Amino acid sequence: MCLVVTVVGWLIMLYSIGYMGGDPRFSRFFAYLSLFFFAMLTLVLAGDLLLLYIGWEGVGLCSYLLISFWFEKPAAANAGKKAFLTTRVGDLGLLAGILLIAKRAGDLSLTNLAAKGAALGGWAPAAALLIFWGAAGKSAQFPLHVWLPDAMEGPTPVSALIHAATMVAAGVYLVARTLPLFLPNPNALLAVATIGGITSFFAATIACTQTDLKRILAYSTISQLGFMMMGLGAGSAFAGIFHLVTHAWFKALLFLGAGSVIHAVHHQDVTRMGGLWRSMPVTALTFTVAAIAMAGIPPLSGFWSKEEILRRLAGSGPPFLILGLSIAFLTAFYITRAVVLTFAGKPHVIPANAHPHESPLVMTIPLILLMLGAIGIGFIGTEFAGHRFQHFLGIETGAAHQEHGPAWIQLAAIGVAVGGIALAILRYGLGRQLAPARVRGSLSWAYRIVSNKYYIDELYDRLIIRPVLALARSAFSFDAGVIDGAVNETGNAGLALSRVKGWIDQRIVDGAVNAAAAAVGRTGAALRLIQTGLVQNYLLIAAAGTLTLFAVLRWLS
Amino acid sequence: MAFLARHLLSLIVFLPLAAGLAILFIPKERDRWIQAAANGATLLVLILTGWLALHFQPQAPGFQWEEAVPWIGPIHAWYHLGLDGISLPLVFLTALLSFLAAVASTTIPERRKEFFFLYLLLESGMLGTFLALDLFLFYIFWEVVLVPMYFLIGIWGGPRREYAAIKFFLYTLAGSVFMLLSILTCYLRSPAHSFSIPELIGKGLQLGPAAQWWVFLGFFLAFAIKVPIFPFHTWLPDAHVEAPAPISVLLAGVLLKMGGYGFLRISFPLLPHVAIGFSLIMGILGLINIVYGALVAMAQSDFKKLVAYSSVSHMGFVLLGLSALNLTGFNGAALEMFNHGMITGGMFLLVGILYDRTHTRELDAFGGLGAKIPVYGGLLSFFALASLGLPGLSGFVSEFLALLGCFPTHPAITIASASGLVVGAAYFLLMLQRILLGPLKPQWSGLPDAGRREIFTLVPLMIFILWIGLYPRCILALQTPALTNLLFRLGGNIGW
Repeated sequence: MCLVVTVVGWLIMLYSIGYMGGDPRFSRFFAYLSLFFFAMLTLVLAGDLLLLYIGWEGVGLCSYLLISFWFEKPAAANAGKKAFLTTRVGDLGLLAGILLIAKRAGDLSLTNLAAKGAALGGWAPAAALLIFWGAAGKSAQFPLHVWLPDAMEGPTPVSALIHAATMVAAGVYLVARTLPLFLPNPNALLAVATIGGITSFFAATIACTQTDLKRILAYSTISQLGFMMMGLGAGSAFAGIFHLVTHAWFKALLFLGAGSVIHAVHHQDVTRMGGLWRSMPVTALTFTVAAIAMAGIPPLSGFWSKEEILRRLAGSGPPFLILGLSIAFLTAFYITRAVVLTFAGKPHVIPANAHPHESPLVMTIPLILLMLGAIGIGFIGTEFAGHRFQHFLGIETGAAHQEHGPAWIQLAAIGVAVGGIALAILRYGLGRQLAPARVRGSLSWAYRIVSNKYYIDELYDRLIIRPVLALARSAFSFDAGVIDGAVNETGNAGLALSRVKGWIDQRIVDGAVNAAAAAVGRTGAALRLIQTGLVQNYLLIAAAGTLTLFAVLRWLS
Repeated sequence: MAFLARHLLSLIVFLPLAAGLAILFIPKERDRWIQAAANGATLLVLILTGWLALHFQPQAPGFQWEEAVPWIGPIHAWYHLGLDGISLPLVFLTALLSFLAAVASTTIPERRKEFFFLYLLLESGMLGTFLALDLFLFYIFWEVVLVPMYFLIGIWGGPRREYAAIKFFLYTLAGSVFMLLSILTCYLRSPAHSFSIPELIGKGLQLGPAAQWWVFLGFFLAFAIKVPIFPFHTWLPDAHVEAPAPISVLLAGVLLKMGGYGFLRISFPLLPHVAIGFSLIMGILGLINIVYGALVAMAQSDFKKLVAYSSVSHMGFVLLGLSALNLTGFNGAALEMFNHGMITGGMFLLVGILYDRTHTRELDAFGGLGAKIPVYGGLLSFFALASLGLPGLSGFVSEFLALLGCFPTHPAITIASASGLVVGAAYFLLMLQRILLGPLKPQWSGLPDAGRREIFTLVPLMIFILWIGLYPRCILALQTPALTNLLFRLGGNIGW
């Protein structure tokens, strides 16, 4: 995995020099890209779940920064945000899984996972599924796949590196890494295989209907990641990782080829391309080789890894095998469709000002090197090379005898690949309709659903995004109205109370004080009347008083 | 010199106040002197606290650089200061933010003399609150913080400053009254008849279980309003929005921590049984703070209000860590206070920088600024990412520790709280998008990028955010022994 990151990454970096030439934020692009390598290598080399999580979030950040690299475009800004948030929903699962493992198993190192699984006891399936949830966010598995197609708003080298070869594969890597946690729990494995299968199949059908070259590749990536998950769900870390490695080569090549085409024609609509092999032979050749590798034609790399997964799926039961084969068929079909529409035939519509031309050497050399990889990398996992890759990974040597599974699987794999290619050439290369018009008419509703990506984006918008925003708004009005209202009312009540008190104070308390004072004053005024200042009056009063006193004393005795 | 060394904490607490008094005697026209005096005093305090941090002995028991002098004899009130692992990070945070916000205060247009006097008085109050070990003294410093803050918001604030200032003042004062009742109960019902926190903890309180709850609730109200805990939080958005930027920095960066610190310093060790019984309520309140704060933040169209509500959400992690009653959770809570001070302090500085240039905080008025002012854009992105808990930056460490600690105690609450991380990411990314991304609006075509002084105020914070994000042990090692001690008293889980 580390080698994939550095080798494929280096080639893409080289290619970017040409692709991003003249961009006003050229240096910033490479700074982000380097940051991405740092985070990705941290993720891959981490020996501990927490460190892995740090790298995991780091690549998510770089993905955000690079998707919204051309942030003046609102679509790019939105896509970056969507990618960050969707993967964050997945990260929550991973975080919960880490918490659970930390609590139950004590430490977070990635060694002795089987023992940790035992320590987790009944919680092991939950921990495994939580980790898978995180992986599903990063690897764009259903139902968290929605961000990856939108992520194509980023520069094409970014799509190749992050959203095809390395970062999105991190989920597969994580599940493969922690597979000992899954292995003792058949239900967890089944969940991985089922989600992988669903994702892979539906993404493949969507890829058959898209007209944007990069989106075709994006859905193809989702589909292939799902395919890897199926391999892991079948219990084989090797099958998943092997396909991851081969996929990294041919899908990076496909994206860079697409980038080369877009660089030349300045749009991404395959229905407006065609006949480009004349003007861009190197791109056409390398893209076609990568397509054949992905379709699974021997002896190119995709065949070996795909066949490995199919053989594992045979062990998981016929439904999975049939699903796997139909995915392989669809893969061959849609990628041939893309090749035919882009490069073969006559130029469809060429704008007057556009003169498609081959890309500069700094872009075509990486294409050629990647093509060599896409052809040859598959051998490292085959018996011709003595299963070097298996030994290199050092895993599941015990299961080696299963390598020689039923031979008819190989034949079936080649058969569906050839069948898919042939049908696509027939339909898009030679222009033959594959079914009578009546059948096509009656199936148009199905086509509409598929080409609208099963309306999942619309569903999320209605069911999650709008309700959360509405909840946020109502929480705010609750906050401003009820809680702050209560605070203000308490304040107002305090004011009202103090006004009442003020009235009481003024009228009753102060009134009583004033009344007492007034009473004293009035008494004084009344008494003042007798203070005439004439000695005769005083003597008269004194005499009257003395007489009264005597009278009283007499009466009392 | 020896005298100063023995009274180092007093020096730290009262140096800003002395400088503030000195500033009153500088003629008004000498504006550079005023600014230089404020910068110099806060820098000196920062250097002294830095020296404390370097010479602090984490493993030594009890308090360090302790000073205890009888103060008001008849009621046994002491002048008692001391430093331990719980207060040290907060003291350092206060000193750092005070210095940086003082530098950022060059933008204060008028009545600068009074401004800096009140500002430095505020710093003394904040430092005193974190260093006081006597409840009486603690209460005084707690109230001292209130008064300058009232004037700083009420005089230099925005259009609704008077409303905000009065609301802040009355709300906090109402809480303090209950705290005062609790303090008096502790004083009267302790065999020690003392206000000394270590002594009260050592000798215990003679209170029935119900009375202990009432005392706890009295403290709780005061601290809850400061943190702030839902539903006592509505003073915060008003005060933050109306306060001038440097004051918002201190308000969010330091004042909110006084509440969390109060739990760790007073409520929990003094009333351990109630603390244990209160754990579930604390956890639920933490969950509400996290999720509710995040949702309300998402609905904001005012940049500053968004950051204010994000503080409510982040302080929820402090509560979550406190409810864990184990070492991991407490470490998370204490570290989250420190980290939140750095991150949100920086955010408010950034809000201020943009407001100074554009005189609006309406998020929809911006757009596309990332291309026009890339340095500012980079700084804002950095702090937003730290705030939404990106691993490798400090916010993640403390939030993760709080969640990890709370998980064994309240698993369901922890998982539900983690959803706040998604909403948190959502509103910060929305904010970044509305300000930095998209097409540039024509009215901002002449906007100047962040200047040298502004970058200078943010870089130290960034260094700490990154450093703690990568190597949190430097702070955790300081606070762990003190928190372990506290947990011994609570009977909590030290092993987790």
